[in-house]
Amino acid sequence: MKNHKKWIPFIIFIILCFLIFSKHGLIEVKAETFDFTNAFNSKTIRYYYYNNPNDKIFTNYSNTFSSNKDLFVKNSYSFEYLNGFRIEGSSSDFNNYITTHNSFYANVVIHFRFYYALDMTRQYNNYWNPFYAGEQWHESSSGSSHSGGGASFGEDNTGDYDILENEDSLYHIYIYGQKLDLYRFTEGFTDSTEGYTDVYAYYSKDISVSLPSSYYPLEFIHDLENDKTDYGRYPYNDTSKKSYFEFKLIEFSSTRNDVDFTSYYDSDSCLIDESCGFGLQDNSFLGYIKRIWNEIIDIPNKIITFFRDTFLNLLKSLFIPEDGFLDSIYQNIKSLFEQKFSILLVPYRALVELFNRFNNLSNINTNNFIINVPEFTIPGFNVPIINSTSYDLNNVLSNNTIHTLWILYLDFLDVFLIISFLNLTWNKLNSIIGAQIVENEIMTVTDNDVYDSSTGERLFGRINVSKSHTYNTRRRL
Amino acid sequence: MITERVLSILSNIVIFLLNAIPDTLQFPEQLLNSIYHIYDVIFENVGFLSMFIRINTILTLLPLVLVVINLEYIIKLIIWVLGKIPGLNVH
Repeated sequence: MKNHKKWIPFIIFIILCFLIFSKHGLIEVKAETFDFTNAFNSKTIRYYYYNNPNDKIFTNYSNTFSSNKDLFVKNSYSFEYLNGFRIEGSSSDFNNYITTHNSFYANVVIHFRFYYALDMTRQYNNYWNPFYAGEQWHESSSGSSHSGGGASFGEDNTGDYDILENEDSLYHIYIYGQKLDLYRFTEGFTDSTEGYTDVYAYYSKDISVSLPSSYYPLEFIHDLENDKTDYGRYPYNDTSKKSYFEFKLIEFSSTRNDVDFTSYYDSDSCLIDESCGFGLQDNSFLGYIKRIWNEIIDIPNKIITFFRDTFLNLLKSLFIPEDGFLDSIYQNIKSLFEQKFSILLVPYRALVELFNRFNNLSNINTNNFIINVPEFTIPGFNVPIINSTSYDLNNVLSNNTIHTLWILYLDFLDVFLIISFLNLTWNKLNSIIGAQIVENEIMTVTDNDVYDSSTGERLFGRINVSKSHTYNTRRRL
Repeated sequence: MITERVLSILSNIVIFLLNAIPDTLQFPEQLLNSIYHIYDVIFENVGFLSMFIRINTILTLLPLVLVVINLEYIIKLIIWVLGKIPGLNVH
């Protein structure tokens, strides 16, 4: 056990090397899927897309919405794939998109905007209440249609929105037991064959939520008009794909980048399911009791949040100095040192300059094979002994054969250096945590006393020492 | 806050003591520039060295060689740090 622990620092060293080199791009880490395991309650979400749409296609949605609308950009068609991702845009753009984009990675999910799609047909039989000025729903014989211009949404937008005055008809959305203010916006799809509509209720403030425990595929919304994919959605309690957690993507690239989203994710948050009090408000007495019970259950969480957010920040401000504080002290003392002990700082400055030059070596032109011979003159006289000149050895390397030989020579030299380095590492490791072979000699000692044969008197003693055999042992250091 | 105050006091003490010391002889910048000139002569011709050996290999291996040569001290340092962690029982 003791010997095994000697390997711990070596293993840590290897891991550190790996982390350092991977950070600097020497080792690329690519992933086919984005794993939300650590952040989202051990749920792995995979995204993928299909080449062939095989599900329902919404009918032509002719209304256009203002460009301030953050969440949807509607053009002509929207296609939704079952278990795939949803692309909105014109059909030609869509076809171009799927032929040119085979896969991509999604990075970082923060700043959720919360969608909760409500099936308003349960509440309203004939028509929807216009939730903001300027919008009217009209019931038509073939279904509901939506007229009027779109409205922007959210705190930063300038569209029209309003909070319902009629509290009785208002759906309250609870997240973590907190009642949300609703900015309502309605939109609908009219499908003459199905006749359903979607109504979305928004919560404009950015919140962090955890994804539901049940597995549903992650969807990404690509804005073909602006050619960007800013939003994804994660269907919640999805059987009809009417409810989504929609979130804004921070980065959408072709490689996976490690982004620390722990600062955005509230790890103590509960799942968005009924146990957290999420869902439609139940106006019955039992629902009221449930809400009170959820509030009581949430008290410890609020205390923890208080201590974590306020108390911890207070402790941090007490003991951790602000950014730049240490730097300013260092600069002050350094300038004073330079003023007082400038002569002593010369070696330090020379050394720092040497390290900087060495650091910038990778940026130099390695094909600069020009030998510059400066002019040499007799001191005191302006008579040149050797005129300044230069020789460019690239002319020699322009020959293909010599160039190939030169490259081979460099490659062999690289291999030799690397093998030498590995040999050095092996010898060093053996000397530190390896073992020594120790040769042990076994000596045999025998007494060969000499006796007088007639009297039996012991005349003298003789001790023979001989080496009988040797054996090797490994002695751990 | 507390740390800032303490560090400020300490730095003020250091600055006070340094101000009490008279200025020493100023090193002529030209001498330092001549040292830099030597660096220029060396590093500008490193490109010529790349004819005989790949500079990137040297830049990659040299820090590793320095680390390997001093591996014993690094391991001792790591063991010392791990030994400070209670529960690991590393000696």
